Amino acid sequence: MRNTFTVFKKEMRRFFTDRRMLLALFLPGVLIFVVYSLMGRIFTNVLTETKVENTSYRVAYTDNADPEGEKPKILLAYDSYLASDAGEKTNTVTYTAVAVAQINETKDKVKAGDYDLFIVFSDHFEVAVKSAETTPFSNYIQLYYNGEKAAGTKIYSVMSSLVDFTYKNYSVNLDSTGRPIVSNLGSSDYQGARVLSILVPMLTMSLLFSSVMSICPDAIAGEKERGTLYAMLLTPIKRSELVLGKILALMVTAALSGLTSFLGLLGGLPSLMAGLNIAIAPVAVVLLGILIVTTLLLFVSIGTVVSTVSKSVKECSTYMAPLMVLAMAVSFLPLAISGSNIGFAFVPFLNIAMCMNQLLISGTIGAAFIIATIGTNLVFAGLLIYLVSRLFKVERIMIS
Amino acid sequence: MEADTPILVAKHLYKSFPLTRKQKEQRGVNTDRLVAVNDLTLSLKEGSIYGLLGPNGAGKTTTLRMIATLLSPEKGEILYKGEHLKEDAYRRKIGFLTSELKLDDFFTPSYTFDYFSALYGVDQEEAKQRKQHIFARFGVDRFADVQIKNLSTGMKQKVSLAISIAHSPEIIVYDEPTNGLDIMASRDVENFLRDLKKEGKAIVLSTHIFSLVEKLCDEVGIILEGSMRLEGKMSEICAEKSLEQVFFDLVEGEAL
Repeated sequence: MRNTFTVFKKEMRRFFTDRRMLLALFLPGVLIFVVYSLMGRIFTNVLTETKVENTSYRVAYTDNADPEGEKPKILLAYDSYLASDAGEKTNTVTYTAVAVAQINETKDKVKAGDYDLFIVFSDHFEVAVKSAETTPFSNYIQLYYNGEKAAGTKIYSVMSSLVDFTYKNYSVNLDSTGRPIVSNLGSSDYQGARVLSILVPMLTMSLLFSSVMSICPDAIAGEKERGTLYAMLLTPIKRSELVLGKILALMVTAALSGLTSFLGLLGGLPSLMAGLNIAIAPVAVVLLGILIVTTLLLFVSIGTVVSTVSKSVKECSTYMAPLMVLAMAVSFLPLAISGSNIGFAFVPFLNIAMCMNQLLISGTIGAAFIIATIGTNLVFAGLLIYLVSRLFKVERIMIS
Repeated sequence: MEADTPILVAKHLYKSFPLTRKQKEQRGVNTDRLVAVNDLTLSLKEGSIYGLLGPNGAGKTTTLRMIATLLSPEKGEILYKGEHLKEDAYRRKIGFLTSELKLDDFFTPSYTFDYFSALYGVDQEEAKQRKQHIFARFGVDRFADVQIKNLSTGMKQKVSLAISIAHSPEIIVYDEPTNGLDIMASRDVENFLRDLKKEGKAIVLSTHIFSLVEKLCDEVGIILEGSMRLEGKMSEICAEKSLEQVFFDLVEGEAL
């Protein structure tokens, strides 16, 4: 174990003294953040560019926000917005207070186009705001609109910003248990999730794989090519200790890279989701994080096997490129597969893509499916690591 | 142990490598394997330098790699003081250097020395003292904390030599140690080998430089096509002719 740790320390030192490696480590996370943020901004612009003029918006709201019957603060804020120079001076708004018992009926009216926006408050929401009562999830404000209508999309976009600004310490578009609600009662929300479910698995898998591609070829094939591996093969340490030290270092490096990718995802997803008018539950984000880590373990193991059988960095990169394309291609497969048959959880790459797809479309996934996916990835990674330790004993592979 | 008792005996070594179809075509052979070393025996004595000569492809490097445990012989055995040692114990006795073996450019000589000392299980305090002594011997101490990529070729070779004896091996296996070095650096290597010999190390040296073998080696072996064709004490082999003449007579005689 001491020898494994010695090798591990050396490999880590190697990574952190090579600027190219450091770049490869953190670049995917930065790229994920930049690409997702940029995409979010583009989608936001596409969705809010719609001009609405000479319109009288019809807004319904529940009458339970203030027991005194005062007009909720957000509606006053919207009035000010409309009247301001930055607002929509050609448009007006009419408000209708509805009883809590009429929530479902009012939602149907939003769908039918009778209202452009429906605001649901938790009981005595304004009282909680005035007294700065911020118990998580018990005080909430929910916005409903029909994304198929230009007026609905426009007022929802403006009202969301106002709500975020006015009630920044309160739950917005979450239910009383903290789960995100579906604001868009039309069908474009579904489309947004579909767009997300196509983009995120494909981009995440390609960026993670490219991160692995930048560290794995050098770790073994690069050492063979440079002749630095021979010196280590001559030492009295066991080949398995050498392999383990190297793989542990790759895992840690890849995990760091995965962490930056995850942080990039955390930073970029809100912008992307806002652009697509969808929300993801916190638990789904955590599951995405776990998926990213296990995916990296699998990719590192694959990269290590390929690096071991390759004679040079170039050869290794050549072998890995088609694998990356395969990973990207597989990330599209869930779109062609209906349902989430548990059998798919045992197919590497596909299981990851299916998990991401389900998490992004529905916000949830069966526990059995995700456990089977994580288990499968770990088992495959373990088998591949064992294979590498065997390959290290094959002269034809290790000694040119 | 008597002075002339070999510290290492490599007996009847045999090693072959598979040939690809392309390699078979290039060589014009029908066999599936290339015999690199065939029934080769050699022995090394303490405080003695053994010169291994042979044209390219004769099997010198394969022989040295088997002695250093980089390759396993298909037949034959390697005995240390008449015994089979476990691989890890045996490796602690061997110091190996070849032009194909490189040190990581990103590290400093000092870190590299410490790293290999740790892998060879050398006590930290002992490693520190050895590093000081060996680096001073080679003049590496001034560059101990400079990244290896910033060192000259000669200095890199000196660092490699220093690392090869970090664990104080009893048997030194050097394959073309002066390859690519200028006259000054080559002389340093030559002097270093003399010092090792004085320290009682058993050394096997493969080189194409006849003058180096004549100056340094006590025994010499000439390999042709994987087999030992001539072996003996330098004084006996070169009693009438120069080593170069002996070598070419043997090679040309084989060719006829």
